[in-house]
Amino acid sequence: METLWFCIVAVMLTAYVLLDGFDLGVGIIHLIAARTDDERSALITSIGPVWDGNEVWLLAAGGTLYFAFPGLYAAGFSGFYLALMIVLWLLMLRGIAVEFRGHIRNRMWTSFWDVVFCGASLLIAVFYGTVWGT
Amino acid sequence: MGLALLLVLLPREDWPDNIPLLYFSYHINGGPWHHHAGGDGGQRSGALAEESVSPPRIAVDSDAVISVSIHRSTFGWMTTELGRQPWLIYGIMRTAEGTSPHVTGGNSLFTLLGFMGIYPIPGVLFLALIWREIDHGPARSELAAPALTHY
Repeated sequence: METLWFCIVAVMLTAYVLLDGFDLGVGIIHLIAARTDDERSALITSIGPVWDGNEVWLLAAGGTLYFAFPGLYAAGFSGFYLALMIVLWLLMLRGIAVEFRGHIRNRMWTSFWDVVFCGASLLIAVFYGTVWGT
Repeated sequence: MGLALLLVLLPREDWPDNIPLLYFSYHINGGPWHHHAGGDGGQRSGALAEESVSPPRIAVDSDAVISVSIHRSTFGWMTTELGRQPWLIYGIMRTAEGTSPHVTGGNSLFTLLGFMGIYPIPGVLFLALIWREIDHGPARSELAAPALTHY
């Protein structure tokens, strides 16, 4: 039974890494790959319908970890408390940047949220690497 | 099993009164609902995307998947809340024993301040955006041509 749950959690985390990795990649490169505001909008639009859905895999993996391997869940989330809290903040900032960016047609406004989106995406990848690598 | 072993150390009248609710919440959360919401729900979505199905069937299937997901998250929440409360609140375990030794007071304070900062800033921005939309009012075309109300 433990092996089955391990496989389920592994599948969920793999799905999250693959699917949200695409979203994070778009966030990281969109300041460099896209030069104009329209190109950046096009990149963000490409992940628009899926980015929050992809993050549900992380929630599902966390929830499954909670009742399948509570010891691992407790040790992981308390041992990496600060790093995971920072990841939570960065995920929030990323979502806010995507949602707020298009509300005002102002160069300073959109540039600010572009930088927030790029920085948050990059730092999320760094902190994931720190947590899972450790 | 661990809960039962600890409970027998207490007088019966001191037992938490929500153990049956916890028991059923846990088993409903981890039981057949899980397979339905996770596996069957995904298969249904795939089938809906590939096959030509009638709108009533889509509505029924969507309702089933959504309601099962909501039920499952609710029972999961109940398991979490009910499961931890008896240990600490009903005096079975000391509060000090329920804390994590890896999370320092400084960490807790830092994250508390972080959340206190990260919520108000988007909140103020959100209010500013709402105010801006209200200030703009409806578009001129909407004012000139009222929408039809009969179908």
